[in-house]
Amino acid sequence: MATEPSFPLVARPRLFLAGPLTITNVRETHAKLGQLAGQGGALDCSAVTETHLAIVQLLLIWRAALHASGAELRIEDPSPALRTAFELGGFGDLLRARPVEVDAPPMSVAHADLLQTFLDEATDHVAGMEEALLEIEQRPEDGEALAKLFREAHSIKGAAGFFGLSALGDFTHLFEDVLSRARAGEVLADARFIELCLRAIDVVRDLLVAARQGTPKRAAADVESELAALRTLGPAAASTSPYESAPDLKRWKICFQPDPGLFILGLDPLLALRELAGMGQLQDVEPILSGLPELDAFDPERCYIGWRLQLVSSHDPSGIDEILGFYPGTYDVSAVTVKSAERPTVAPAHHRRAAEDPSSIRVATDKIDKLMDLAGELIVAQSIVSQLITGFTVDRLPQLELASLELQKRVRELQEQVTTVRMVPISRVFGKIPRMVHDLGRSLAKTVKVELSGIDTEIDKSVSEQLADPLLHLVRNALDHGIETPEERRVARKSECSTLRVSARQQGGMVIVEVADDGRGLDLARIRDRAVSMGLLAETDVPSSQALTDILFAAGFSTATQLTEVSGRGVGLDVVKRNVTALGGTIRVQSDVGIGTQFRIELPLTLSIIDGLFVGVGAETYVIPLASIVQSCAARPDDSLHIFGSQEVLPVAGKPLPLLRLGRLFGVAQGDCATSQELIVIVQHDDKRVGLVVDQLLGQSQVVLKNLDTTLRGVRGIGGATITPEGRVALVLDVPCLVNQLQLHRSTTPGRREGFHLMDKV
Amino acid sequence: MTVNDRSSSAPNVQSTQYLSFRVGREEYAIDVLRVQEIRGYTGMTKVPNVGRDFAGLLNLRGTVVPVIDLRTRFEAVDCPTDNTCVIVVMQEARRVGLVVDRVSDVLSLPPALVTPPPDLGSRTSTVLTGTACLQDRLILIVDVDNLVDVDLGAPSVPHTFRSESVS
Repeated sequence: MATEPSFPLVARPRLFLAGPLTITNVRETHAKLGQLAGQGGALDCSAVTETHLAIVQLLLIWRAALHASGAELRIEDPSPALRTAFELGGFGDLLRARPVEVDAPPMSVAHADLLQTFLDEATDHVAGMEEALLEIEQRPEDGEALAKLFREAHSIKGAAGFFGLSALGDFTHLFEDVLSRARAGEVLADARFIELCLRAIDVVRDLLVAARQGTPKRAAADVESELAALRTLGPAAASTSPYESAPDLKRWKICFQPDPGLFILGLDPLLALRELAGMGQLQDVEPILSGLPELDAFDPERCYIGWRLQLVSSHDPSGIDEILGFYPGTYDVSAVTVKSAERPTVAPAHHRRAAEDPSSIRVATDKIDKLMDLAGELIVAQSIVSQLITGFTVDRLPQLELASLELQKRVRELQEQVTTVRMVPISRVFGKIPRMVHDLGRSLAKTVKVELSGIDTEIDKSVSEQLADPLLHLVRNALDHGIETPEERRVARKSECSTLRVSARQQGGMVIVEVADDGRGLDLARIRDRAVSMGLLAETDVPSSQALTDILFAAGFSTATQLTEVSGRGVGLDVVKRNVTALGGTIRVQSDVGIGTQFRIELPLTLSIIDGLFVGVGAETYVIPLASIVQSCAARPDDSLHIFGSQEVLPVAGKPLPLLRLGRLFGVAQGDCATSQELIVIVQHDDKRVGLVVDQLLGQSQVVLKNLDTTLRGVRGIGGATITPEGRVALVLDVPCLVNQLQLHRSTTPGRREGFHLMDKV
Repeated sequence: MTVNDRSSSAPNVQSTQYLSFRVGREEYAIDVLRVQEIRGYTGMTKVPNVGRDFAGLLNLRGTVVPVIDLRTRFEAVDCPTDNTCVIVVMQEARRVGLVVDRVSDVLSLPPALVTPPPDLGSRTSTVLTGTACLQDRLILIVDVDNLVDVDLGAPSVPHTFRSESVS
């Protein structure tokens, strides 16, 4: 934080404006303000007795011009006349001391930390609100869910005020109002209430994202419309109370653009607003300032401002016509219903959610306590070793070995514990599903029940973040294509309400996530036809049903709209697969016609620690991820056959296995292979197998994956690096790349296709 | 390592401190504030199929650091010494090692002593930002960012990976 004052310590001009300021003296005032050019200053407006839109417009122009040159215009002690005019016209913020677009005061580092914590917590509160709301939808009579919703909103409101996030504070305040009325039974928790609340939650989420990015102004437009919608919830939804059920209260949306020349005619549009306000209640008065010119091109006697506003009134539109018709210019009046403001699809809301910043992590205290304990034990174990080393004699070797073993054990525990710090429950990803199903089901007119299971399954944070998109995509697909419409379900004699099961469980080092629907299933015949017409399959091929469903994931297949319309599935599944593969996982689909479709994703628990096999090639050591190893075997060099003189193939279990000599690949002098047996590590990726010829198997252990320098990311065949027990760097092989290396090889030599065709079926 | 006698140049707050090192017969200098540490030249892991300038990967207390061989980068006359070492420099959060023949000095150079580099018209011109003459020594001042900003993954010579896949 800069310690210098944010403005130079020189006396700023201070202008005194007094008396009636109207169109008659706007030119004089304009000239007067010219004194402030380039340096800014303060306006004492305490004695202004009358004002005019032309004056407001003048101040706006000057403020913008001064702001652009780094100076500021402060309006001090506005008189009641001025204040009323400003507020009527929606220029309230002009009266605030600083026109700078920051919502929060400059913050200290400690404040920034606190803010970060608040934002993290608030994000959880938002999730909690959503959860509670969906519970209310299921069981409207459940008062506990409503109370929870209220509590969560209240928590956000309190802290937002503390951090000066006024937009957030104001919005949650209003939201809380609505909720407390709902708790008191004044507002019915009906479908409309839930819909509006869900949208309000979206706004809160957006405001949080905006606060995190330090651009609180961004979401403002959205907030306004949602606020308006929320406000309607009060009187309109409280139809149980006869007092408020006045049926002729209408909401009009008005867009008013006065003619630029009307000032000279002696007209002040502010008076029109005042008259409108007399008809009912003005809401969301928003001046349209886009017409304001630069200072140079500005004529103080022309009107550049228009408005968008809403009027809640019991009058009919002729009253509005009467008022605005008097003013030259254009205006437009439309009746507003809440329906028209509803978001047409869910997609944008979901899209915006992706902007949440995932950079910090909250860790349970007990995990940290455990870490502290382990660190303490580590220090003890280490001091035992160093004590043994000082004054070491050979007879104490067994003790040293024991101490070293102890140290090793502690380090391992510490490492395991640290890994758990990065683990988060998968509920963070799953939590988004019910909302999405709710919204999507509504827009598709399908009744879908979501069943989540295994939400406590823990998964690495980065995996969890990158899993969200593919998973939500699968859910969307299931709803969109997999699940039939209620009519279709009736015809098929199924329950009209379909079920979507999303589950997670841990199995060994993998997490298995399944998305299963009870919809119509995949139409294999159609997939086959389509694949043949796209050239992905030959007419004569008889693929297994598994191979056929796997075609769904082929790139380009997804765009087959014809298929999507008829039998469903396919939109962007190649992208889903790519994302899952990037996480080191696999995806499979299983389907029974008429019964349902099930997608199964298998993911490694963590990305940063893998089990690896150390292999020696010449003098170099490489690590092969254990997950991709099928088996190791030994073979004599003359066992292998050469196809077209270059590609070595080894028959393994009756099938040809392409070989890749790592030494040749990496330019490392490899051991003499003519004499002894060769060691072959068979690796697999996507059903394709390759035998890697190595010199030595050095043993397996867990390795910590280190990222390579960005400039080295392009090195083919190398996925990362790790540190060996000796403290050297060892390279970790990128098995998908190595396997695809052969793929590339095949496709670049089309004439030889026949020979390599064997490889596919390995 | 000695810090040069400051009395020889007028005590000037504007002076920049440089770490000077030898590569071949030439003496180079980089901004000392960009140097994290100096390490022995041991235990480098080769990376296959990358440029010749790339010496390998180094384990720097658990971080894998790429190391550039300035001896090939500067096309220096090969005169191996026992003092070959690795200077670890910082580029924001990134760490890059530089193999040099020997580290010689920390120099305090006032701007007046630093002259713009001669126009060499080749790639060195972006790396070389100035020269300085100290008695009989000509010191080439190089820019750390431009020095480490090389595409290490791009092979500079036809390599085995390619020949393997084309064969």
